[in-house]
Amino acid sequence: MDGSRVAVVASLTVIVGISVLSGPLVGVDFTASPAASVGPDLGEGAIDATVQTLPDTGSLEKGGFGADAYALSIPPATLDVEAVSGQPLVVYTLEVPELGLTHSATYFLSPSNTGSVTMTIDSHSLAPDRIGADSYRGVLDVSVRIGESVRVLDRHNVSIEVVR
Amino acid sequence: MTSDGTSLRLFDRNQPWGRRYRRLAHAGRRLERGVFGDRWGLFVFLLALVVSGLIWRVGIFITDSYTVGNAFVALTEGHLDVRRIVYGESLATPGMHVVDGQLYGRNYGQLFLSLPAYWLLSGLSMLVDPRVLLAALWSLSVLGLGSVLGSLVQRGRMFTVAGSLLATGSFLANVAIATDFDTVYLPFAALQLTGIIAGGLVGVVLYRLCRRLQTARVGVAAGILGVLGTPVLLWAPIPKRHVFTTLFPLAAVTTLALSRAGGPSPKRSDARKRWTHALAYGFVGATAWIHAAEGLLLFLVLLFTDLLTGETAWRPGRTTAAILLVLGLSLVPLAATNAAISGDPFEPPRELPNYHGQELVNTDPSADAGGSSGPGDAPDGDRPAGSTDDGPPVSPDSLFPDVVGLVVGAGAAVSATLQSAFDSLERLGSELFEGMMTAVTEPVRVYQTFLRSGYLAGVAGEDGTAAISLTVLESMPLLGGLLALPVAATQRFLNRTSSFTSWLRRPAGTADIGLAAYAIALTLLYLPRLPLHAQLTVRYLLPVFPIGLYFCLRSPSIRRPIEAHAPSLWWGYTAGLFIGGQILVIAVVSLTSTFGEAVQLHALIALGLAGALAVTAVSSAVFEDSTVDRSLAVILGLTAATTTAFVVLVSIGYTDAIGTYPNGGDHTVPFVRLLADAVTLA
Repeated sequence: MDGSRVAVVASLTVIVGISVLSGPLVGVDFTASPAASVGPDLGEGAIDATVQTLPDTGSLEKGGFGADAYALSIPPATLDVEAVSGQPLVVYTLEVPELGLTHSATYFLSPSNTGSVTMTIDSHSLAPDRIGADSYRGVLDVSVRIGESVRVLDRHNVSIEVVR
Repeated sequence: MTSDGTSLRLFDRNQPWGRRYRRLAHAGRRLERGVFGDRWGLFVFLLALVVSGLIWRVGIFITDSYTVGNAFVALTEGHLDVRRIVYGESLATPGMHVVDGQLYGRNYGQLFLSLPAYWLLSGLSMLVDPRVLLAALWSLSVLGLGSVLGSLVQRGRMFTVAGSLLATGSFLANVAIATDFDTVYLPFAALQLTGIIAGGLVGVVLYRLCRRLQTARVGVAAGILGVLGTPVLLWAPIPKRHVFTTLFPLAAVTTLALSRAGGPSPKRSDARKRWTHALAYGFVGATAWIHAAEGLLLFLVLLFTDLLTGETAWRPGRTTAAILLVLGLSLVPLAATNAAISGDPFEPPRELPNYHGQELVNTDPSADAGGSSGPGDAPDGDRPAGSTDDGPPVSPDSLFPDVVGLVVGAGAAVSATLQSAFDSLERLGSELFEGMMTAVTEPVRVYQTFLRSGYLAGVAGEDGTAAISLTVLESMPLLGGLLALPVAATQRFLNRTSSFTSWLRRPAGTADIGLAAYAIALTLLYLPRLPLHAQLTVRYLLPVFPIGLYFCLRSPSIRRPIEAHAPSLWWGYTAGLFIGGQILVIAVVSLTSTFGEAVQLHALIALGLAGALAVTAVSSAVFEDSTVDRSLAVILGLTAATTTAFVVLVSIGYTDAIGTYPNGGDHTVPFVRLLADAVTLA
């Protein structure tokens, strides 16, 4: 018996067989639906939380390897969450008026998200010709949004140092 | 039953099943010969399918894919005009054109060629869940690759068994972790699958060309390096024109060169040779159906090459007639879609006014003005809509407006044809001239397109302020080996080992001249607009990469290491990809903080390897020193691995950096999705 040919035919049988099982004719469902991360009550509910850490300094670092663009990065903020009901939104925002930019990260919290929650703002690239000063003043803000209401948990200035 | 109980013959030739199998096998062998050349060609093709499948993500990588996708859905529903939004949120996407209140996409050749893949996928998805189907097709290509390799090498049975185990195992794993597939994306996947097939055929054409002109080993290396070591791999699963307008010109010049191979022999009749010769011109229509200007360019290059390298015993009459027939037939689909869309068979969609989201109304049919873009000035996917100022929409001029004078009408049609042909030629000529002027007056553009990119304000500004558009050499460091070619050419002509006229008459001369002319002309066509954003790997010049590989392999100092140390080449490649790739990932994580930085780090590594390859190859050529051959083979492997690593990281590491994909990256093969979730670089 030719072993390699048997291997090929066995492999073919498994692949074709399971494929047909998955199809509409037989209808075995092998595929998982992606978990719905957003519920119907998005932006509604209540939260009891305090800001644990909110950074005082950030950086604008010139890209290496000839990439040149400046990367604006801010360390993460941490939130101490006591209790959550529904799906309230927590927004972590950086505003740098001198550069005319606002970046934010929005988190949908659910009742399971108690304890320490880390929030990060992705680093952003800025064209080299926009960076003239050695440091910029920004404002960091952590707010809770429930329905139309916005509640500021913490808000203070951040100093952004330019690293050339 | 003929089975004696101890041995199981799966296909007995005496049974009806066996006969059917034999007939099938015969048809298979003919396909293998006609398309792939031989079994090694099939191997190159299957390798491309397997690797492309791994990096394939179903989703929108670049904005004008919305246009192509929506236009393709319209085509699968049986009409050319785009009537509904399937992908994206608006029909005012780059590359959408408006004629008389109706919307049309572009690249119709690519769309029509993708129909069989759509029929295949939608037909099979009536039997199989689409996600499982894609996983099954991938595993089948693994199985095929193992079996084909098994029939080609010693200890082949091992490869066949390994391929079967890998195919079964990967399929079961993929089914276990499969997620839902949004069937809206099935037509889109068909477009991508067709691109992947075209990308594999680029490797096959390289294999057939180099195998015929050089040796089997160089041919196989050309095919594999063409698949793994060029950015064709990156663009194959992205539904854009590039992979097709790379395949067709390459196939055209290759066909022309192969039609010159060998004298007339009893086995190869004159007629067969003539038709092979004519077939080269058939690719003109195929290219033009996707991008008219590049089709015209290909025609001129073929004509130039043909006249320059033609045989002395040429029979102009019959060959010319065959060429005209094939060329004419190949242009019919283009003329038909043009006529159906704009009413003018000579007006391709790219020339029509762009759609910017204005209200759609039937325009006055007496309005008479064309689009403002030139033939090479294809407004491509990345320009913000509304940036070009187009004239009023074109009226649907009927080809024969009056029934009264048929003769007058025919005369007018002929003169319109000539007029249109001259206009196109004149425009192409002026664009090429502009390209030459740019090369002379702004050499920095050549430098920034071919050698070093870095942060270019005008380019990076449009790429999210990130220096992510690599140059030709940064994308494919293997091209550093090209530097050995002038040395080799000089040596040959100085040593009189080869005369200029004999080179012209050989198939190699045809391929050299045709491919070089196409690469240079294409570069001149696009140079005034390069360097450009959203190119990533200078995709406008995609044909230049496989052509460059061909020329690398023309120089003896690159060929010799491949002949003598092929295992070093492939071990170098494997180590470079799997060990070097991991080191690269660590370097990216620890040294860079933005996508731009990561890409530029990659660019510097590529340039370093390209430099090493160039220095070693040139010194090997100058001193005719074969002691460096083994290291040269390793460096060749490393440079190819650098290109593969970039393509893999774009698909797996920088998943969120470019494009929009429905389910966080949406990798076609489920286990790649898990890998991509584990590796997040930007």
